Amino acid sequence: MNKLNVNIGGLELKNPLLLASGVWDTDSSVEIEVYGAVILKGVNLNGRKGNPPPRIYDIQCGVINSIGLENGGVDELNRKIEKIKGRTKLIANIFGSTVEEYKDVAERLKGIDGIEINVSCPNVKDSGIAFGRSPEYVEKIAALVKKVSNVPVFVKLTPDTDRLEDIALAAEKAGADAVVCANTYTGIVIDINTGKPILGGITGGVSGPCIKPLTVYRVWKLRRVLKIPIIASGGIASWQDVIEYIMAGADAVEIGSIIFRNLDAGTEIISGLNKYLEEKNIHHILDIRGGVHDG
Amino acid sequence: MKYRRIKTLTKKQNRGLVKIEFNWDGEPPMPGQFFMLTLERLDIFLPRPFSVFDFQNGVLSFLIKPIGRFTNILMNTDTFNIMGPLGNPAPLFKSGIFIGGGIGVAPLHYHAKQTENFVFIAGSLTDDLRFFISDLEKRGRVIYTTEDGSYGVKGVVTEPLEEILKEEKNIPVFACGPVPMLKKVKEITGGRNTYLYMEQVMGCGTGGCKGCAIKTKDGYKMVCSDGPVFNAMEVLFE
Repeated sequence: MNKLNVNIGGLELKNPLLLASGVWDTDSSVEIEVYGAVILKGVNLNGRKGNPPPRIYDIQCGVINSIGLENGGVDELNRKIEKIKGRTKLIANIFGSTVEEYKDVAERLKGIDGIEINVSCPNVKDSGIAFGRSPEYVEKIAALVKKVSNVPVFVKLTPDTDRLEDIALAAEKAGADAVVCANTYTGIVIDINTGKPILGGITGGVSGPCIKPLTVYRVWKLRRVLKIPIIASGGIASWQDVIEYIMAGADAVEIGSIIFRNLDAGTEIISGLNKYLEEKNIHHILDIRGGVHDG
Repeated sequence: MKYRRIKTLTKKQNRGLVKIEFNWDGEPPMPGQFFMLTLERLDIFLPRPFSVFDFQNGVLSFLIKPIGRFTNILMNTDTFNIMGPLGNPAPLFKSGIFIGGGIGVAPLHYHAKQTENFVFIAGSLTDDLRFFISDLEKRGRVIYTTEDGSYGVKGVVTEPLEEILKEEKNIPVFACGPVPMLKKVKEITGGRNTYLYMEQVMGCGTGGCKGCAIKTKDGYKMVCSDGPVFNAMEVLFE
């Protein structure tokens, strides 16, 4: 019996481990078959040149990045999708600088199994996070994308808000099939020799093991108010981290930054999860979901 | 692609520089290519790119200057993880002028060894490079510059380049070193027939994250997947 298969808002996945958007660009370096699904790099209608360098920096136990959603637009992504179709489930991560752009991108995408709405990237000023901090905009964008899509639609939330529950509920109300909790946290690193910010984009998004308890908290908080599935994303480096997120209330998880130092992290996590479930005599991974709330 | 566990064979130290040697039976690297290194401990999270100083008889080596946290820990450990070779090979010619500033001589050393006729200009603050690259002296012409005058020509590495270019015309120039030095090299050659080994903080090393961008006349390009060796004509300096 498959102990790991999950259904996330209508999307059947062979396991609950997803590859997060931004760390992989359809080249041959990652064995994507390992993952239940992979989320492609963020895409908008006509592309984006990205932020000035330096774009990435080691912060000890994590990373800060200011890539700025560099991409070649939706038509180029469609051509890339054509080459990798069938290897595993593919989810597009879409963003725009207007509400309509989200709809236009969703309409033009071809060959994908799901859509992740990005209203939470901290590295672009004219789109994304400004929408993501407003329940009204999140509801509007999610409803519009849902209307033009025939695949499950997820909303990737920003953790940088005191209205997290309201925003997630707005996504649920709009018909989103799941939420992703959460994107990176806004941060800044300063060069103490020059007194200037290190990143070309000044601020960046913080990810990696150092943020994990912050995001586990947000998943735990959302599980109490949401009916739709939660895909957790934040600092996962091992199978133990996946179990922790599922106990906090997640239905599936994404890994991202860990891929930088271990391209094989997916395989190791899946085998660790299988061994854990076997040893504990647990029939299915979601049997432990949200268990921490009962204690 | 996977990271492989490596055990250090030898470490040779001299005046603040260290050569780390280890057995490598993976894909042989081409000049220009690099490897990503990680340490077991999670508190140094991102991998770091290292260029190939030498590869012969199955032994690969890096030349490092321990100045940051990563390189200092690398100095005091015998195991690390490595993935590669990555990036594009540098263009290979029969002749070349190589100009390396400080630790920037590392990839040029491997490159020059695969070039029939070369002039190699190695510049540093003091006489620390000769110990590691003197094997080049029997293969080609090597000029040392030191800013403190402790060996070779007193001054900066770009000074002999102008003289050499008067004698050696239409020979490709390869440069690696700090950005002000690369800028100066481009200024001297006018960017013609000049190739620059570029450096940038990297995330994945395989083209996935778009982290290691540099500015070029055609927009941002990635050091890992478009480089690391770029035609000087296309590189834009601030």
